[in-house]
Amino acid sequence: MMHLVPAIIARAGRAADAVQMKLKKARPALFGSPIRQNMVQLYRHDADFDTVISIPHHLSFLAPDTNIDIVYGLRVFDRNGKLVGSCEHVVKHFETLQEPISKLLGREPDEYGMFVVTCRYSSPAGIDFLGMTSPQFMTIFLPRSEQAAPQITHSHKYMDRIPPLKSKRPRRSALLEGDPNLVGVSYFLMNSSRATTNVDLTLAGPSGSVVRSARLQPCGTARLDFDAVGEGPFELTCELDRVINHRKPIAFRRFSSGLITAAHS
Amino acid sequence: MKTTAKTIRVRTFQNGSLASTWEAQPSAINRFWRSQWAADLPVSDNELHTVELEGETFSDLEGELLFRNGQQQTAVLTGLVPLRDAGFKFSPILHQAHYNLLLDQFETYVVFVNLVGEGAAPSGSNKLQVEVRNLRSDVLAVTEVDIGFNSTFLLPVRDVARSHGARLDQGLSLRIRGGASQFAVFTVFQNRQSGALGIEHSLPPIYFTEAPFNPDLRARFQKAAFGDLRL
Repeated sequence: MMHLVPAIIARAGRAADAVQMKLKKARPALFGSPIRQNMVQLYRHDADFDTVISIPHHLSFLAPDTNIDIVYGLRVFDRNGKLVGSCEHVVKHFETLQEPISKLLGREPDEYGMFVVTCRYSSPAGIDFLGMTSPQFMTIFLPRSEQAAPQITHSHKYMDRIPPLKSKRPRRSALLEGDPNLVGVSYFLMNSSRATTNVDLTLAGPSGSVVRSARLQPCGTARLDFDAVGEGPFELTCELDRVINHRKPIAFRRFSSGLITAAHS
Repeated sequence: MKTTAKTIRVRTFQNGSLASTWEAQPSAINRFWRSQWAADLPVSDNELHTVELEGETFSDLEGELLFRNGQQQTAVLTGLVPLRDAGFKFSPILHQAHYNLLLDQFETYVVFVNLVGEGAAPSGSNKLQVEVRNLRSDVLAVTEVDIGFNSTFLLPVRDVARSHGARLDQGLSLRIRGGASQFAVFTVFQNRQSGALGIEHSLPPIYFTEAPFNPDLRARFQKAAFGDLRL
């Protein structure tokens, strides 16, 4: 019975969201445009990677005959969930905002952490046919090594609006690891909620399973390193003790060549 | 991938024509390489590989697309693109290629993989309009690419811009529209010196707006996004 409570709370949260969006769609001038906000992604600013964020003026492509300024907001958290800083950038019709995270923010972030993107429109006129919109973006992990290639991930889930209650449910990723030159995999997990969340990551390979655990502070990020050597295949299972929105660790594979590649799991 | 399919069938198209078909029985984890499913087929510059999961009923299945070269392996997790029936009327696609890196050591490719299957190809063209802008929104060039059906097409962003006289010093963003087939679109970053890769699938318009799948909004969205498109 107790495990039903988190699901009921989550459903109530979604219902509240739906009502709010309905009001915004009906009266955007009064309630604001219906925008699905607070999209999250990982940044790295360490010895291996810097991070470039690329945000398109999305209304240009969807409604090219309009001319609306979009104010994109960026909040950057350190690995412990402490706010490093926030900023806003005005982006005009058909412009693209693409800069290193430190330049966008005007200060150096942590070695890694989570950032959150929001937006608002200068006018709701002429975009009613888009219904609910969303400020999607791409994150480019720019390698420090001269031999490596940039890695890229799309924007991910939204920040949780309501602190999720406890409920354990393992999620097995479709992303399998394994390569003759593989020497390890680092997984980065972001807590998209404002509740402390515990996570167990299990990497199962041919010779057994290894479990690593972390405590994710609200808006915090954890890095868990695994020694995964060879062809595997290695299969990841992620078990969080709260049903937070973001449940897909970002994987960075390390190879004996020194190269590193990334993917969302 | 994991699947409850009874049979996994991989087809390889070369230059738009079916070149081989290979079947396997699923196991707990299914991970196959080009050297397995088309072992005897010499590699071509234009290859398209499709995976059919016969008997699979789960429509939101994700597959992992992997590349490796002896130095590294990179992969992208992506949903599967459906194979449409013959005669299906495809809507034009819209891709925002705003995330291009113009540093000398890298190339950015927009990769178009399109599928119409083994039946007769559609009578319409499969052209895409490519509008090149800098990040400050100035239009630098407008061109077209004609993509053969059942093909893979790599658009090298920097080379395309340069070949049309576009300056690169204020970045590049591409608006790409058109086509008459089922597309999967990826972006690939390549280190020119080492060949190392990074890859991600695209975010089609449905990620940015509910309009494409909302029957009350779809027609107005199509008119706004594609009304001026002439190919």
